[in-house]
This record gives sequence, structure tokens and C-alpha cells, in this order.
Amino acid sequence: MYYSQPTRILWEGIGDFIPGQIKSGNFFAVRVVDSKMLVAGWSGSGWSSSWEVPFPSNNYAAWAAANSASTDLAADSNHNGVPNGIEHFMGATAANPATLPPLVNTTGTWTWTIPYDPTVAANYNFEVSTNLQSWIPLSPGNPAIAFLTSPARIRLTLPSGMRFCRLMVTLQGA
Amino acid sequence: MKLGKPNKWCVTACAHMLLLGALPGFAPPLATARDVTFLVVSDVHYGIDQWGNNEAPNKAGIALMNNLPGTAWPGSGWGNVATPRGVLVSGDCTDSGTSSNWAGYWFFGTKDGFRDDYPERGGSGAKLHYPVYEGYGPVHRPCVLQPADAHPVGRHR
Repeated sequence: MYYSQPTRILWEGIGDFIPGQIKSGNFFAVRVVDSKMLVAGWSGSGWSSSWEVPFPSNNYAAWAAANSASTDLAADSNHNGVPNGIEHFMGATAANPATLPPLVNTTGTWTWTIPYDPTVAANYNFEVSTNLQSWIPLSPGNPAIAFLTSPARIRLTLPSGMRFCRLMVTLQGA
Repeated sequence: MKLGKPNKWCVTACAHMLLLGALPGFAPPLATARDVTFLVVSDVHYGIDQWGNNEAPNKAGIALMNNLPGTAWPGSGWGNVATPRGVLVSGDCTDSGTSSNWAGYWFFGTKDGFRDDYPERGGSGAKLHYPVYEGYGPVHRPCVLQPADAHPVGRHR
């Protein structure tokens, strides 16, 4: 998720404003354009550092065109039960369609491990529930969500007592 | 399927939304489909040394931010800094959340508070010129019935 890195940088950088030791003239300037973002730190008399963050180019519109899929990301173009938007998020293609993995029970702990494509321009969060009516959001950064590599996967560990979970993906370029 | 165990998942897709572009008070995009400039400061702690000259470091920083437009960005090809759409003050706006921290006070001279130097819609002169979007920090609420407590809630509706 491309917001995570600059957010971390921001918090580390503005740590210069320590209570009792306020350091004047420190701030961050951010410019966001279509394809990228520049975060620049100003310290006292000039720029102290900067980070250029490209945005993912693998957006839904490009994926849909490449895979002859509907522009409607909620549609299920290959009729496999997985909406197009989720297929895109999971890194599936027309030739290699997605299969949603089942929940796995490991000595009483339930996990749900989702393949994903890190290059996809998307944000996501999980929701968990005890009754399919009231849902509790779990966003990236929550300890229940872990990232696995080779291949890239996201693993949700259901909090104790939760029986159901779902994944919500918000895509750009859709 | 056994009751009492996780047994169902579902997935949901929805259209995208983008951070900051929808913030109230932000002007429409200019040269490109998306071109947004904003500033971020934090922990300005109005009131931490209000008997001394607590506002001085903040006012110095405000002057730098006010003079920033037109300065060349450090990255190649980024041009000059445009007028920022706003300033995000991510938290700890005041030190103890009292009315004097927030609105300043007079004691043989005026002492400004956070609201004086960081006006909601942007100010002029030595005040911050851009709209302010403050976060809710731990020192907003040192005790009940302090004015800083409810302030961020209704400020940007």
C-alpha cells in the first residue's frame, strides 16, 4: 500500500517537535500529482530531505482491458464467484483466474490468507463479525493482519469469537 | 458446517476514493487532473511556555510556511511550490488544552493561542495564510469542559 511508507516517514520526521523543545521552522510539504507524490521536509532554513513516491500504475482499467473483463469491477466476468475487482487485487488474469482460499483452523485459531498483487493501485481492509449483521473493520496496521512474501499474501487472523470475515478492496482507475 | 466456528467469507468491491482530494475547503485541481500541495506540521504545543514566549517558534515556522510558495521543490522536475491548499496540524495543538492555550490571553501584553496563529480559514500578516486542518491529540482533553475538547469536532463541518 503506497500510503504506508510516506506516512511512516512523516511521523518520524515531525518528531522534531518535542514538547518542551519546540523546534521552529520544521514542516513537511507535500505535492500530489496524477502519477506520483513528493514529500519534502523543511528544516529551519531549507529543504532537509525529500522522497518521491510513484503511485502504482497497475490500475483496474488497465487490468480490465488486458483481461477482456467488464469495466464494472463488481461484475464477475468469468463467472467464478469472485468479483472482477477482487480478481484484480489478487493478481489473477483471464488465463489464471482467482480462487478464494478457505479459512484455515490451526489449533483453534482461524486464519484467512489472501494472495495479492502489490503493484495494484488499491487500498483494502477486512471486516469481521459474529453474526453477519454487525461488522468490525480491521485495517492494515492492525496486528491481526500480516504480510507474507514469496508469493505476496495477506493473512488475517480472526480475533477470538469472530466467526465471519470479508475483504473490501477499493480500487483506483475503476 | 458447524455452528460456533468461522464458516463463511464474502468479498466486496466498491469504487475508489482518494485521500485529501475531497477535504472541504480544498480548491479544485489546477493544471492536471490531480495537483494538490499541502503542508504538515505537528506538536505545536501552544501553552507549553506561555509565560515565556511560547508563540515565537511557532510564529517563525508560520512565517516560513507563508513565504514558501514560489520556492523550488527539491526534486527534479517538480517546479516551484504552489500555494498550499491547507496545513495539516496532526496533533498536540495545545499543551494542556486550556482556553488560554487555545485562544491566548492578556497579561501585560497579548499572548496568542493556537487559534490566533492558525486560523481555521487562513489569516493574513503574521498569521498562517492557509486553511488549517487540525488533528485531535492527547492534550486536547486534560479535563472536562475545556474548550479545546470539542473544538476539532465542529470546526470543519
